[in-house]
Amino acid sequence: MALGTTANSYFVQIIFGLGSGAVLFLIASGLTLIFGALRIVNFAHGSLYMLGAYVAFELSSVIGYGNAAFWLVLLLSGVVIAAVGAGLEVLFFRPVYGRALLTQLLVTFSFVLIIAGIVRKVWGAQGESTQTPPFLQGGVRLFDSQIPKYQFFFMALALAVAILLWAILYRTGLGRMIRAAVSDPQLLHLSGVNVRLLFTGVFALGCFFAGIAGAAISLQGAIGPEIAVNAIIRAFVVIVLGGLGSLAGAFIASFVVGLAEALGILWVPQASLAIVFAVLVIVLALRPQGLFGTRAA
Amino acid sequence: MTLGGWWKVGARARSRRSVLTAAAGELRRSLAADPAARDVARRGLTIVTALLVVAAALLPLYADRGTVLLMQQALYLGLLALSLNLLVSTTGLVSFGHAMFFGLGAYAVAIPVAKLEWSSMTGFVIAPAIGAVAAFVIGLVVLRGRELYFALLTLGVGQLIWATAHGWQSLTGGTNGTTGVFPPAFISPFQHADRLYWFVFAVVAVSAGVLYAITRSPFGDALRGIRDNRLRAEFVGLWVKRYELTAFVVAGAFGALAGALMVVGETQITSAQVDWNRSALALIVCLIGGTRYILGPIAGAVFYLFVFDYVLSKTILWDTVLGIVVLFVALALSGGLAGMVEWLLATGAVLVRRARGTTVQPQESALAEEYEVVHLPASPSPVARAAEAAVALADRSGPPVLSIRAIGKSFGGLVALEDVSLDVRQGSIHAVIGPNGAGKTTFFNVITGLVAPDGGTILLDGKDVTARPPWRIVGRGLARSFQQANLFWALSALDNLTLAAAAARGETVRMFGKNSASTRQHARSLIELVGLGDFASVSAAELSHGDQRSLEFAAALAVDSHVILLDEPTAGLSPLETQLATRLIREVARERGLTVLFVEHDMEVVFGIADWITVLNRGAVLAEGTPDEIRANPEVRRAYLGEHDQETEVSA
Amino acid sequence: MRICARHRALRTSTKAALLALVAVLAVLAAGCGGGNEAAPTEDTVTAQAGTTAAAKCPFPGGVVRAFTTIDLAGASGDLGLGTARAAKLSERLINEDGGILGCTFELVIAEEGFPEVDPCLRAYKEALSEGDKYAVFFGPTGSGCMASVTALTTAAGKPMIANQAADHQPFFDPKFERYNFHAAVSTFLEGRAAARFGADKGWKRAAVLAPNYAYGQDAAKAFVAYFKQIVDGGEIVQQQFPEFNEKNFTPFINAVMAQEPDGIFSAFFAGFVIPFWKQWKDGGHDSTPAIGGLIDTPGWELVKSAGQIPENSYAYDRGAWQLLALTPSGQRFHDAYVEQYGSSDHPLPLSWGQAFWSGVLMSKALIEKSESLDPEKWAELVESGSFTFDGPYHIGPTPVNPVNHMADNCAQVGLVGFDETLPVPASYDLSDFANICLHDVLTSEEATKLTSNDVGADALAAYEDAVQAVKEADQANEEFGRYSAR
Repeated sequence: MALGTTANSYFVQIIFGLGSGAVLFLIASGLTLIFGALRIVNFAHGSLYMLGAYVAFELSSVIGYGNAAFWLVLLLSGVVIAAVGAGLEVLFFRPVYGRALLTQLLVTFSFVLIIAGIVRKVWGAQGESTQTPPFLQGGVRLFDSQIPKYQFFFMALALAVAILLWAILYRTGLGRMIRAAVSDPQLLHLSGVNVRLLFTGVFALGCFFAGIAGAAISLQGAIGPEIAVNAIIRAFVVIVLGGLGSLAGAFIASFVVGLAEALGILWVPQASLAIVFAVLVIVLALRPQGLFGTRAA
Repeated sequence: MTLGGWWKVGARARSRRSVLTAAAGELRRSLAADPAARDVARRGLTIVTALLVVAAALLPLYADRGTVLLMQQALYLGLLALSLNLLVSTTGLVSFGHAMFFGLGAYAVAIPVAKLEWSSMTGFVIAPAIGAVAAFVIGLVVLRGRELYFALLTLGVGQLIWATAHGWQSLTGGTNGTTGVFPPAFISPFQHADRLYWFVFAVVAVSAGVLYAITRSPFGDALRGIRDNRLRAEFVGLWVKRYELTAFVVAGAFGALAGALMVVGETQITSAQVDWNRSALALIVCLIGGTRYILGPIAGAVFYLFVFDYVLSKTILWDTVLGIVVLFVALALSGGLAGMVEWLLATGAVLVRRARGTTVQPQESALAEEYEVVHLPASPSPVARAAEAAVALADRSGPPVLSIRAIGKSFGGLVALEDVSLDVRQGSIHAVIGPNGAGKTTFFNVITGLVAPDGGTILLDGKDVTARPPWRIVGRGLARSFQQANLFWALSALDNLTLAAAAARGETVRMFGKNSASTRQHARSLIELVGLGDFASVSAAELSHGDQRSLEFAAALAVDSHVILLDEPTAGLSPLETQLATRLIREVARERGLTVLFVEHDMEVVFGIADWITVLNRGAVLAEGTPDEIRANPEVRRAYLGEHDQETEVSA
Repeated sequence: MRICARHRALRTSTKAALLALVAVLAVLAAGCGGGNEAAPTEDTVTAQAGTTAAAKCPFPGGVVRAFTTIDLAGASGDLGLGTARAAKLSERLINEDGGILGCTFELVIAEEGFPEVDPCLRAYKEALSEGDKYAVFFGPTGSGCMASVTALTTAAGKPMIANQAADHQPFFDPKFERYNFHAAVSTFLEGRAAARFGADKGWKRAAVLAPNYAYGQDAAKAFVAYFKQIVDGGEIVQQQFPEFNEKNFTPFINAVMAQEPDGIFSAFFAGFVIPFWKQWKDGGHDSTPAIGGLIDTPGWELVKSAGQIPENSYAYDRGAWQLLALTPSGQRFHDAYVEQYGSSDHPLPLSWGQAFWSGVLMSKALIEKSESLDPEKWAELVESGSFTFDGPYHIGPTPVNPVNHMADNCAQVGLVGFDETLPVPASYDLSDFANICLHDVLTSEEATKLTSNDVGADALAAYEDAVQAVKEADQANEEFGRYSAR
């Protein structure tokens, strides 16, 4: 325990924990949506997120760095990554839906490698520094400290994405179809729905959120190729902890992991990395379907 | 060129492509129909493999140092992948954290040498033991998950171990790692680099041999059965969890050996070498080489590392290239490189045979013909008929072989069974009937241990078997067949029975050797009994529906049970098949003194062979008695037999 | 049933995409369109013809050949590019000056593949197995590889000059080997220099924020130990080690600042300093001085505007071009680099480049003064205490510590500024800048405690004399001396 840490510092740390949890949710939401509907664990999700960050970087240099430009870049990055994702799904992932688990894992994993090399070739290994739009520069005075504004932006964005996803899944016809696809794709097909198109759409939607997350992460000041690996491992922890396919689970688990990491940094600095995995293993050992997941066959 | 000209070019290309596709299709068909070509391919692959192994063994004699070093590193990775393949291919457990054993084995050598000044050979010997112990503990945790959850649990544990190695710097050196663990003088990398290579080669070769023997043993058969059909494995008496854990332990031991070998050969271990990338790499090379082939993983490792080494120095896009290779193999080469070689050999053999004009005898494929008939011996023997008559008059005074007392089971708000009691007498053929939703299948699931009842007891031969796991109940002599055929699909009909018999007799714990002759004989006699002698080598998936039911029945006999539960044995059979199946059941039961409890919807069957009937309705026993009593029972008729009134009047 | 999902034929579009990818793969494998400007080959990087008369060369073949790995295709490829340029430049400059003892100097570069350790070790092992092909081995980029390389070179009886990876372990107990030589600026020196700088600023309570891998851990350890040693009542109030690829520093910054330190030492690297600065600034911590990290040229280039730099931001370096361009050999290298690459994407030399040049110069001096390729003779020469070479870190000749074989090079620590007139605007504000050399932070006495290598009092005295001489030479140059005043 860090002696002499004031209560204020704890509160601030909690806010940072929520902020990084928010980022985690932005990444994990797409991943769990894709798994829930398509039953495929997309290892390349972190790489698409990273690609989204670089796409945003390039778009900013064209569109600009102002406030309006920021929103436009955010949206467009999502769209671009959604398109890339749709392409991948149609060409490479569709053939493996019925195949063995190992094949699926490796097909998605191969794109981690492919995208990593392309990014390194085009932009270099070092990364790029990014700019913040004016409305998110600086900090907010809270708990006797200054908290960067973009931390709150992350939280707001995560909340918005959560609500949007919930609305899509539970308030629209499309969402109904997605939920039906989760339970029984064959039945859905028999009821005349073009399941293939639906799956591609869901995949694209998940990648859209990955793209947005990537664009948002540039608010940290710099992007680099290493954010892909960092993202995918932690996203896995989150969605498995929350329960594969459960949106609510991903939401809760993201903040649990974010807070655990942040508080671990204060309390047991050297072990904070191990703590997250230990939590995961313990939860899964007791409840293999995660916190909110349904027991799979 | 004009548009028309382009069109013609396109047309020619299309026709050429369609010619190619047609040729490919024809080749595929002739390949399927030409088992001789497949044998040639298999033998050819063995020869190719042997040549490559010899070439690898002699490598230092003709290759430059760089190649030998690369091959050496491929061997560590290959051994790791080989150990992983035991889990992935043989047992069907995809582990995403196998590098943790690699790391444990490596640190098991490095730390004692660096901190305690042990000799590295001591560590080398201890490492597999440490791997095995760790695998046992870890296995208890990770095997609680299935399929994808298992994979993710192994990823989590693997990362936990990596994080520990990474963070516990005083012990492991973290990212700086532990170094200076030199190989012993007799295989020093400078004076005796060649000897070091041969040492590594020898260890890997012996390990591969041991793993091969294990996969070919009855234990290996059991693992494959578990991989194919976990449920069926439980029902032939295999304690599935224990077999999986054992496989995990063996894989962990050899994985640790690979890590120890690497440290001895490379003089260094860092935490970066045990992270999930290495686990993923082990999986990748298994797939690239071919998971179904014993040396596939090693071939994959060699291929991958040589490509990696080549590409790394040629382009900055080296991981893109590797990604493309992995993608290609995953999508297009389901058998990996070894599979591709075998396919090429087979295709070559087909072409050669065609060129030579050797006629191809199309094999009598089970799929090609229509089967209406279940193959059965001709007619019941006089002895059997007499026995049958005798038992029909048997009284119901002796102790029941299976006693079910006050079983209740609810699923949430739905009451499936309520206070169900019945006794099954030794040697009787006891039917359980009732409308749909009466709880018959739940009833069977409770008896066989698939589902635990909320209350009540089940006694088998007077011993309590309530809520025991299925494999244990099978061990006590109670077998079951399923409503939907539940077999080891990838195995042949004969192998299904051999595995069942071996499992029931406890032979599957043997990790080396073969099934005993008596087991094999038992399986063979059973397959003849149910009339599938001609189809012994056909895989279960390819049998007709009726033959599959027969095989199920034979499997129930194979586990040496004296009580057999049959769940709708004639479901989906044609009238002729039904008749023959019924006859078979009755004869075999009488001949061997078996007790049969069966669920049926077909009243002709029920009244044909049952000598006692229990009627279930809405989860409770409605009536019990002889067929005549039941037929006459008005309540039963009301609840169930109403529509059948006319027919039963006619046939009675 | 799973078994029925047999090998389904691939759809046409998938097949087309796969074929396209395989075609791309074939093209890449053929080496076209994949390489970059400094793509290394296993063959020699041929030197320009110099005025060497091969007949004068006392060594067989007329060539002195050196081997090194550089990371071009790996995770630190940007740095590797600059280093590779420096390597080729070094080779050319040496040969322009007449080679080494009249022999042509040839440098062979192999791909390192950082952070993979296996390809790097393989490359060294392969090179070491080729008998007397290579006279000298330069160290690799990665610490992981370096950890094993010195053992390999010693066992093979070859010298190893560390001029990339700056680990100090091969020069202190227990890993010290006599055939190891250090010609760069070690993390040990960097950490100590930062501690010295902070102490000079009057820090009493310091905190550490370093990436959790070999480099960060070593720099942090050096800082912590030295700070406590030289600051009376100095304490380290907090240490945090974010993972290497973590870019969200806010919780770590908060944890550190909660302890209200006087200053922070953060051993971040190039591209990680930028987000650190941003988050630091957004967190309103400008008033606390923070030594941001080892920035070096690829990092400087990432700074696009002065607004990205918080106040009180410092950085450290292992060969800042602003300083090294003032020394004779440093200037030579700097000018040659600018002449060749001044209009490229990276118009200024890396400090890693100067370090590499330093190593090459050291090898030349060792060979010429001992007139031999035998590392035993080199070790004896160095351990006499009077060996010096014309390195780029001093105005005068650079001494080499006889106890641990480390060249007396210098780290630079200074305030970060933004000067639009410079080719790379982000640079040091020379009004708050210090040049801290190994002799400033490591006394001979302490050196003998850290490395068990008894060279005798005479050698130590000779070394002290050489150090004194170089200090005077440095001071004599007004500008250079300003930063080295101690």
